[in-house]
Amino acid sequence: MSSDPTLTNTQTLQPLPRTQLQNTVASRERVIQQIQAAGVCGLGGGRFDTANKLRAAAGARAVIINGLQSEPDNNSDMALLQETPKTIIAGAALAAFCVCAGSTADADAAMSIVLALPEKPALVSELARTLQTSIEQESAWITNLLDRPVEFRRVQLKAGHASGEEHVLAISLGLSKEAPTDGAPIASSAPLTTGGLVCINVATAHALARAVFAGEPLRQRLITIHGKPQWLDFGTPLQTLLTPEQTLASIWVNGRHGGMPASDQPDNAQVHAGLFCINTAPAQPTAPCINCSACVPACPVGLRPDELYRALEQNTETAPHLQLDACLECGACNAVCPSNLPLAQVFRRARTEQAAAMTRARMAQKAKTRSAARSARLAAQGADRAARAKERQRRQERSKRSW
Amino acid sequence: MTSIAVLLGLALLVGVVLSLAQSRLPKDDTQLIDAIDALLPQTQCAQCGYPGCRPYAEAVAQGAAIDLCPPGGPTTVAALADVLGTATTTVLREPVALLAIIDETRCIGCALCIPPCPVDAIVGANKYMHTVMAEHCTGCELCVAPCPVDCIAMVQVDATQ
Repeated sequence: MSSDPTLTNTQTLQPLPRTQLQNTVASRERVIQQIQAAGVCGLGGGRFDTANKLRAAAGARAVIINGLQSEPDNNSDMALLQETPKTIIAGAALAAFCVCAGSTADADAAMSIVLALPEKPALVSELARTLQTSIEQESAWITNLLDRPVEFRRVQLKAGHASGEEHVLAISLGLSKEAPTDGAPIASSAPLTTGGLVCINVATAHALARAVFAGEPLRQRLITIHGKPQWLDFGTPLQTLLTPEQTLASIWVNGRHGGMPASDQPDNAQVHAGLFCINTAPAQPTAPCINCSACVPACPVGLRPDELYRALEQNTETAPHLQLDACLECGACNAVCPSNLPLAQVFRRARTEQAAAMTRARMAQKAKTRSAARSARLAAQGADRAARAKERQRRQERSKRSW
Repeated sequence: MTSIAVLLGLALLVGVVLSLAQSRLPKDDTQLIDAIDALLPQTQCAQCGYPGCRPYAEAVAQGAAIDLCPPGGPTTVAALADVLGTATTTVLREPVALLAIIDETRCIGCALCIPPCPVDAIVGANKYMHTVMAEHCTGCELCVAPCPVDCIAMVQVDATQ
């Protein structure tokens, strides 16, 4: 069945040239299947399934390419932009294709592709030219393909902690209406797909383009190791990246603020898609909390990290109004803490424990229901058997009498 | 004077009726049993000597020992002590989450492990291979002893998953 556009896992990936792409729903689905088969996932740290994200964002009118790096130790995204600007722009165009190809609803509405870059004058002015060239080359193709105006925008934002978190980014770009009202935290921790927006990381855009146009599965990524970006295959043991005097506990992955010691990595201390930088461990706490509340304005989602920290330290039940659930674990609070308290790490641990407790409670509830159902069934069977025995006895007695 | 006598008489009457009602009417402690049941781990393992978590909760409400639940461990004992206001000195070991796994190559299909399972987590029929539905297994170990070929193993599971 050569005309069957679906892909199965047993087939090897084949490049899908641009000429095969059409402005139809079938073609869009074919591309998304290719992305799924290549195993592309969010490389900003979240590892969400990109194919599902693009499916869920169908009909979006803006694609944000997230080049803001929240962690100061990470420069993989900038390096990737410098190395392969064309591939990334092509990936952005592909993401736009995956959310709007073949849709007939408001077919004249423009598609905007926003490149969000950090405010680094030297780096960005150098990049601007190459990016502009790539944009000019790509925009004609994608405008033709989608048959609607496509507008590319380059936006430079002040990079700070959590500025690259997609909900925060959408708000600072003025594209999301989810801005916190009355100091309420933004509901987060799910990928942003609503509101006609889809936000993908620079590295993800690169992986998208490689998956579709080169038929290359996602099996490696650019990782910043002590400030130097390096391509590493997934599954590379972190042990092999250490110098003799380092241990897994003394190096830190995913940045000094939102990250964790490499020994805490859930994936057996291997390189994986959600790992973007490796560095030495950050400074140890220098003092207990001094109640300076510097962390309160720093929190991008409007939580009270000081109160949360105190509540967790006292080992009391965290009050629901503190909304630990809404924490992004971004480490913005760590960055401003004069005592170097590992706030984000404390919050992450508490959230993991809460999740485990919730799982246990759910399991217990399920076991209770099943056990009650079993008891009821056994009781019903017992009653049934007793009733039949009684009936049999009655019949026997009657037959005896009739003799 | 009469009003005082009437009121006193009324108070006396109501007092007698209430005290009689308390001693004669059956006690309603479902709420207490529910509260105790909610603290138990619901493994239904019967290691406490009662046929399940609910019967044990009923027994605890009647004054049974609160440190009989190994799968609950010290956390459950502490929580029970909190609710009942009793103290205990026994120290239970920290529990480990378990899961039964049937070695399907050795299973002879005798179906002896199926009736003991308190949550109907084992599927299988006579002379057919059995298996444990992992998402329903509470790790109660009640299926291990009945197996004539010792093909059921208890494995430790990561509680964070």
